Amino acid sequence: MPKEPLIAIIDDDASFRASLVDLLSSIAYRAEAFACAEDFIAATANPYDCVVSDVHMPGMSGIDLQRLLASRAYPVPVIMVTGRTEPGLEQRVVSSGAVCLLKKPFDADVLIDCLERVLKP
Amino acid sequence: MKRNVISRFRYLAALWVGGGIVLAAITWLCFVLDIEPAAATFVYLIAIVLLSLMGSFVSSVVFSAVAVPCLDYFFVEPRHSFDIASTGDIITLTAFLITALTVSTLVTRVRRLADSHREQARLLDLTHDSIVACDMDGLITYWNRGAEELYGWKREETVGQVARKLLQTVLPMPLREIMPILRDTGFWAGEILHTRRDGTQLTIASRWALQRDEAGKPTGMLEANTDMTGRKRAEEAVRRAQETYLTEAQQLSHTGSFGWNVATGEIFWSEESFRIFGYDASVTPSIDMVLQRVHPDDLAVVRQVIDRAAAERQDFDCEHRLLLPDGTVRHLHVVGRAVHDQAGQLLFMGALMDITARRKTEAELRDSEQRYRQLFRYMPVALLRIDIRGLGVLLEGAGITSAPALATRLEHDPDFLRPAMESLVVNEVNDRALEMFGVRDASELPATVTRFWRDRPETFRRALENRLRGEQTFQEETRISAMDGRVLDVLVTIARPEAPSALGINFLGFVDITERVEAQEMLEHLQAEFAHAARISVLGELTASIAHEVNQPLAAITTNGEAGLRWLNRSEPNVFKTRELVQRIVNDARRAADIIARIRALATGRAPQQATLSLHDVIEDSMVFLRHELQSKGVGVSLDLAPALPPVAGDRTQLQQVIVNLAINAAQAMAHAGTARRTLAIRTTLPEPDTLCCTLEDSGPGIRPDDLERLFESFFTTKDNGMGMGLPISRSIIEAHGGQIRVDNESAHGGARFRFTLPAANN
Repeated sequence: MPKEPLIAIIDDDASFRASLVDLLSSIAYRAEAFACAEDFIAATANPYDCVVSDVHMPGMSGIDLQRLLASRAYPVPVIMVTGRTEPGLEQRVVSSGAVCLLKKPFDADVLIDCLERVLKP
Repeated sequence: MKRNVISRFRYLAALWVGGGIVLAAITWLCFVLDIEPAAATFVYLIAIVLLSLMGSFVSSVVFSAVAVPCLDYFFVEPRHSFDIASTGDIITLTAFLITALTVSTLVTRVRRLADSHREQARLLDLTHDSIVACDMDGLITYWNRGAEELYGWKREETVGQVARKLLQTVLPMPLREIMPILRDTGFWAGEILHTRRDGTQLTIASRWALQRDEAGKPTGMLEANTDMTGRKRAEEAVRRAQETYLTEAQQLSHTGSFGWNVATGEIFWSEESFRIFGYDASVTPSIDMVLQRVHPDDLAVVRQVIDRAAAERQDFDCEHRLLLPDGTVRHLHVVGRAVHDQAGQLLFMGALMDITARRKTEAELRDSEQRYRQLFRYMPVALLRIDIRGLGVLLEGAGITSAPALATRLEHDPDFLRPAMESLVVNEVNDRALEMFGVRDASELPATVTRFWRDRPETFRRALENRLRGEQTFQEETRISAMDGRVLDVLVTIARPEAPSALGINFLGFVDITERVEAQEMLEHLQAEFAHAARISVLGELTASIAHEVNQPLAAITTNGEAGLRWLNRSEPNVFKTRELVQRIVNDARRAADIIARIRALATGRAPQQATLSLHDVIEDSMVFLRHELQSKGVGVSLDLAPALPPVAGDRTQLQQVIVNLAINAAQAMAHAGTARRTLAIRTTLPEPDTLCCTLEDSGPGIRPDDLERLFESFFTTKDNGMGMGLPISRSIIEAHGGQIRVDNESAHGGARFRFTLPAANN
């Protein structure tokens, strides 16, 4: 039985972070949560299969993180989530190389679809 | 007296003894010589005459009576007998007796007359006055000792000389006028001048009496002269002094005197009169000169007064003006009294009072009074003149002399204010006061101030305390009740004039500030509206942040919900896990509701509400709106909150608005300037035990020095699409809370620094 994929969750909102961890657990993903991008970078030794990150966070933003990962040739797919609706945001997220942009609040199925697409062998 | 009688008795005794001896000796001698009876009779007669010169008439009678029998016995035939032989002898003896008695009588009379003359002369010598008698040719016939002493000549030197020449008499009128008076009345008196032997001149009060013989023919004059020189000099000195004083007094009182002889037209003026009329004292005054100076407008009246006075011989009293050549106008009060001189001519004596100064003072006083009246009446402020004497009596009677004494009294007797109000009597009110109190006439107002203070007796109490502290004025914004039931917002002012003439008078002024108070309320309302509008505007700017803020819990709820469903939908539902998730859903829903409540508070336009607040709560609440906005602008926030800050009193929403406003301004300024490292440091301190200070420092470009001054002005903005209302509203909010807001470029992070203070809440 293949090992369940390991997902990194980065969001400064503790409540949302916890809810996401629980959702992924409920559909048999392993998930690890980080309050900020900096914490995650410190832990990149682990083989994460996917990163779900908030775009706007104090300190390093999701987009900055994506760029950093790309520059480090760390080929982990990144799914972005945001509570904002500002124009041009989607464009910037996509151009940064993120695979998906989910707008809070989102359907669990949308996230699962996205994950499944990303994790498809 | 007794001694006189005794000496007279001795004299008489001696006389009789001597007389007896003389008569005896004559008898013996004549008998021895055998002289004829006729010759003896003659010898006896001589002896009796001689004795009568020495004695009284009685003595002479006794001697005569003794002599007759002696003659009969010794010399008439028959001798040595008292018989008388011939008729011729009887005649001889009888003739002797008659002759002796007659001569004795004459001698006695002559002696008495001489005595009387001697006595008179002695008396005249005794008098202090000088008495000079002259005959009708003016030759001196008598000159008494008084005259000797007065003039220096002895009697012997003067008798027979012409008196007027000797004394160089100067008469007050010609002699030819005196003589008829003297002749008609027998008497003349006057003041004359005499010159003494040593050449000094004397002023003499002289009284002349005419002496007449029995036929009434004038025989001489008797002059009784009294030296008046000393008295005259004293009188002269007194008169001069009086004249000097009079002149001085006239100058000081601006009062001149005048005399006017109507018949001759002669006028006499005192020095001051000349000055008043503006003439030189060398000119001779006349009615024309008076009329020349009379003010043309008063000329007719003055002429009338003069004419009537002259015609009716009546006293006059009038006021008129003078117009002097230099244009000066003088006010004159003239009083004239009609008198008659010795010759019976009509004279007016009177006074001219220069009342210009008094008139001026009166006019000024009148003007001043008029000004006060006008001012009082037409002042656009309701004014009441209050008689406060009753209050003084009341306070004194109650022993209240200080504000603490009043406080003590009111503690025991809270109703004391009522009699105090009732003791203040309204004397006068002006038009504006009538209007303000809603009455047409002063009679409709109550007599005392009691009613006005019905709504705010505490104002009256403070005014009373203010009075007891000795302050001159009192001012307070308060409310009074009008007579028609309106309650007015007024500014009350009480003035207590210091002038002694105004003792017992206070002025009570009311300015109707109802409109101002209404305007103030309107302004406050508008400010609240503005602040609300500004908040809405801020909320508009914060929409994205707010959406994010609300989305966050919503996203968590959704995700938790989905996760929960999945746990439940498993073949073995995980109830434990589901319960945990549902709990989280509830928490997040509450969180969302809380955020929405805060936004709604900021968005509603409710009136400011005072509450005791923690400044830190206000700052942290504000962060709810700001977090994402600041984040999206890439601004890092640092909070440095002082521990144990005292609470402040104020409106939560308004204070939040200030913080949100300042923070957004800072974030926008830093973003707009493209500042690389964007920092907003919010710090609270307690610079003074009762003052809190909140500082917001940024790392932006700061504020242009030129703009610093104008930053808080309305509609001043440095933003492209700013309204320029955020900072003015922030300032009005802080000031309404009793604080101050300042701006400078002293930020520790290199940008602008805003600081505002708030007073700590009482208790």
